[in-house]
Amino acid sequence: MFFETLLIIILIIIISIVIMYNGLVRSRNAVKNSWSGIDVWLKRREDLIPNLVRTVKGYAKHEKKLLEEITRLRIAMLNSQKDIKRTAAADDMLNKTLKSLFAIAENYPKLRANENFLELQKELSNTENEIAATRRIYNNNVRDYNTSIDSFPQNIISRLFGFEKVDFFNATANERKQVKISIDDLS
Amino acid sequence: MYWALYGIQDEKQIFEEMTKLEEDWKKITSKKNVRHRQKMMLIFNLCFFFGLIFGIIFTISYSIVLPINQNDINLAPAITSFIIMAIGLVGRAFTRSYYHSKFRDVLKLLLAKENNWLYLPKPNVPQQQVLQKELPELFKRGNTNNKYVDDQFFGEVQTGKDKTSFHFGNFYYEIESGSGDNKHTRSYYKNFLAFKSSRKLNARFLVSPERIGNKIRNILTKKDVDLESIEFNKEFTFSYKDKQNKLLIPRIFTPTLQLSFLEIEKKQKDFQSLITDDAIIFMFDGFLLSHLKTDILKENKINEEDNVQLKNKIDELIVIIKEITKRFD
Repeated sequence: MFFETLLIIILIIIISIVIMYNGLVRSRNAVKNSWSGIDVWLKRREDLIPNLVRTVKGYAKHEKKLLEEITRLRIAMLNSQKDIKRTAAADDMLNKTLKSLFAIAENYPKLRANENFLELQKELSNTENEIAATRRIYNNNVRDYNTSIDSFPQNIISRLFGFEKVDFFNATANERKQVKISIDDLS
Repeated sequence: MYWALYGIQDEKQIFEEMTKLEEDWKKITSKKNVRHRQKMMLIFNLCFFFGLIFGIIFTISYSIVLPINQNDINLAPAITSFIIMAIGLVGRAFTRSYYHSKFRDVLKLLLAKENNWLYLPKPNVPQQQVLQKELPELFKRGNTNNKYVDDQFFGEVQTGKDKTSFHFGNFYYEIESGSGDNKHTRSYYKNFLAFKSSRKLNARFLVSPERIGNKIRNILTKKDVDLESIEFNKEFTFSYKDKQNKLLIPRIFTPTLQLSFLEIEKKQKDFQSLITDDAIIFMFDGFLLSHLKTDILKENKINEEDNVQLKNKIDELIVIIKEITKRFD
């Protein structure tokens, strides 16, 4: 009787470990999946930027400084793809600069009338919305994953199998400063 | 020309219904009837008021001149004042609820007329049968013959530069369980809101709340679709027939759309959506037009808040429609 009970207990423990391990793997995969989602939309925006810069350059020659800033931020984004915090910082800055560009475009009626520019503006605003949504989804997934890593008894499994916490996709002032320094170095 | 899911059953009938309702409304709001209603309300208010005054006087007089012997207290005046008060209160509530229920359809008619929509209040069994045949994913429910659609609206809403046709209403059905003396019937009211798609979508899939049975079935049949959001995957499941639709889902359900669905699901219980070739249909629990602010006994027109509330609900879903159709560009 004792042996059977022990066997049942061991079996329950093994099944629980398997379920918990699979749950953690699923959460980690969801985080990776949502990160690749961010990556796809960021790349899409990066592809649109050279076209936008070219179009604006033709109409707003006086905005050279702003256009250069956008180009540098784009390169900074490309260089920081593997670092979540730096990517988030670069994304924040690029987003802000693009908004300034669209605000400035209001002063150039010919540019505003350009169909290519309007199409790019629409496309970029759509991409920005998707980036914002993926960012929220990624952060929610990270929160879920990090919470399950910290909670008992999953924390034992996570330590045993080397599950590590993941960074949220948001930047601190310090990270933004670092990106600023790196883009200044590019000029 | 108005649009409806699988055609309007009888447009002429709708106009007749609307005219009849309007005539009833005119009759009820005629000076003679309004005066009669006001007189009734005044009588009930006076009953309540006098009952209250009488009760107060009785209580004061008894507390000042306390009887020596407790048995000497005569409760008749107290009971009388209570009865008078109750007659006033019950009468008032009954009159109000009678007129409110009578005006409920009129109120919706006014709402429809204000927006240039069509309104069909009556339960429509044949239309439910058509919907059940064409859209079983949403309308094949209930196990009794008592099912119908009612309170239907047909119209258009402005979406940017274009107009989008819609059709919405309530779907009523019943589920019977047990047998003999233990037979129980539960009634269900679902709201459906269908929008005509601006282009042919060549798709058909259902997004419905996740239930453990769905999940297991999808995993076994390899039909499970996991999107970026864990929360979305936990809350919703997809049902579709062919592989082409499976490939379409991740393309259509972008992160923005996933978040929009989650947002609405928090407000509308049992929120589901069916994407078909030429329409996108939403279904959720309850009534779309509930908790209306318009007091038809006091004002003769729709309270702007009700109009705004309904339009906001429609707009919320229009955002989803736009997102979905955008992916077919």
